[in-house]
Amino acid sequence: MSQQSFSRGQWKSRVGFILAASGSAIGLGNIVFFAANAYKFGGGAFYLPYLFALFVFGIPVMILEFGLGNFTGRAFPESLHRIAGRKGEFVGWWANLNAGFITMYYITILSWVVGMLFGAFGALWRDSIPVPAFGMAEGDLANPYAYFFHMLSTWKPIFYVALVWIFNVVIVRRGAETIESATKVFVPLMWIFMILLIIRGVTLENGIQGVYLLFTPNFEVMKDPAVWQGAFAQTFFSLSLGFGIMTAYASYLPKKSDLTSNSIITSLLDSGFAYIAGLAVFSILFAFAIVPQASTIGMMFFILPQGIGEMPGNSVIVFGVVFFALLLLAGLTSSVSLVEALVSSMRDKFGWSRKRTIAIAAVIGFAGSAIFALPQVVNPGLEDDGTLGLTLLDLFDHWAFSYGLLIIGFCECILVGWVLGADKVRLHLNSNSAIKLGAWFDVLIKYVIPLALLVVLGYSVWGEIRDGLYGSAFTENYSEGFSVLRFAPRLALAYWLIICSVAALLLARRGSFAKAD
Amino acid sequence: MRKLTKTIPLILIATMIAVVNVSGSYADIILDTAYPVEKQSTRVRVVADDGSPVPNAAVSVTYRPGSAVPAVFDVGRTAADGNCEWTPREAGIVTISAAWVDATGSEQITTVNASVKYSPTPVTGIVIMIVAGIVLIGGAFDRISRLLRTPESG
Repeated sequence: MSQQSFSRGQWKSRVGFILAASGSAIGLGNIVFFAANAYKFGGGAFYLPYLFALFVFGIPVMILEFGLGNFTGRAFPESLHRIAGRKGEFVGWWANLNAGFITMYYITILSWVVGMLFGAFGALWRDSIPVPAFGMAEGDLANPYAYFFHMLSTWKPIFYVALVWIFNVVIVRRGAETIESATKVFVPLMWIFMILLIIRGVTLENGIQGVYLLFTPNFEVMKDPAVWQGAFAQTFFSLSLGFGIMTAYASYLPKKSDLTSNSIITSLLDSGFAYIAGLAVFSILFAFAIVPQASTIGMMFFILPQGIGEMPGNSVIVFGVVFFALLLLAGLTSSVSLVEALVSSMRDKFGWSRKRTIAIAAVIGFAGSAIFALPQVVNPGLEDDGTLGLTLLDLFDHWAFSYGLLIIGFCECILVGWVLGADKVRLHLNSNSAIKLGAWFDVLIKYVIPLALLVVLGYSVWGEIRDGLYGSAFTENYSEGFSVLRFAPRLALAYWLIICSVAALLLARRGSFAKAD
Repeated sequence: MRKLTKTIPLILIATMIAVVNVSGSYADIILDTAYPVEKQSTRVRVVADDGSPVPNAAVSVTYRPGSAVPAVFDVGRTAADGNCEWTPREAGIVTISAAWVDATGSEQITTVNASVKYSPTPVTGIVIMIVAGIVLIGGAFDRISRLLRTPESG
């Protein structure tokens, strides 16, 4: 196997690193999902379990992932290889492959954002448009639903997918250097766009009442274990943990970096962005009496646009464009981190040139993203997901996101906590950090967090057993020619498990790693 | 990043909109005030498409719709003029439903969302907003300013 050497590159400034790491963590969901989840789980009452989960669970795992990347100076698979040999590497590749699925459909979702952004200049704000592929004439389905499903039933999103992949390739072409340059523009712009939306939201008639609604607690819901499960899962998903992203990003930091402070800043910026996004989202929803939904896709493409569509005059177009541009920027800063995590792992392993690695990742990634954008209408009545691409996306998202990330989080805690020894990472972290971690960090990594992850995973598995495999409830409405999709929930699970496991096994068994300069 | 989908319930909403538009809205629920206030009585009117009142419609309100703790309360039945009194129990976004049997004997349902204002201003909510803001935004900027003061690369 190759023992080629290659240059890994490094962040040019710590501000650049913080912007890139926070840009990675702040994704589509931060803008719309956190606030909707908080509403679902008791408004202000949700902040108590959420802050608890953030400090005892999210930030320590973020510190762990930063520490791991900086300690080894390599991306996720090689970092774990250095801890636990091929078994560790297997976990690392499994994480990367799982993240590969997420990257593919995440970019498809971004392609829909691009389509909606075009629509925001006009067509999206008409009352309705015809949706012929679903057999609907104009007026049958109101906008923004009509515009969205009409777009999904065409081949246009495949073109948008290509566009988004090109953006990603351009941004990651020189690794940390170009990612840093892009995020230095994108992340401040995201904050500016968000502040514009907040100002518009709270200045709407009774918009401020929506802010009260978001934060006023309903303690009744706190007795429900689902709230705590939701808070823990939310923290994990929100911070981009379990992807190997933070490990890859931290591997480009100098050894003498203050990793603990960097982790805390990244985590707080991520949560802080979700917090301020809630101000904008809830002020708009309250002003126009629109019920929030705890779904990123629903909030992005239906609920919030519905609210923006109610705004007076030309402000509809202005704030519609701002909203979708904000989503695009937030999505791009996240998707480039996903692509970079894969690219850095492959380069660590094979020592390929960056250009070649990116080309391979982009071609495979584009093919996968295109599958999630397939426009065939499988459910003309829209009782379920509507198109083939969206149906597949829904299924793979369930497994890769809800299970994959938590499984990886559990494995990395076990590998670092028990095989390497959490104290070794802690000593490395403490050697250059202003905030010194105590032995409590070891306890969290070895016992508390793995146990919490097991409980959350167990709760989810129990849900599958009790309610049936995810997706099995919406298999009865497929149109003729797509009845084979009734097997899709099982096939998606099997495909996801087999691809991740077999490919990870093959990669882990194949040779040694390349040497970095 | 965050959980992305769970699309199905939302697409059901799209379906509901489609159905309503296909069949034509039979009646509307109209509130006396665009933004009712919690604990203050307001009037709910159920009117047919032709503007005539819908009597004897059963009106109910779902508080916290779409949350983990929705609560449905009956408001009462509309009088002959299609009106009924409603005093919102709590503030927030609510869904008001009216159900009645039409001339053909079939059951009809119509719904509308409304935003109920807080009265007085919820102090607990504001305290939580301030504390969460200080912890999350304040905490981030405090750490950034400390980090930037130290001569460290990375």
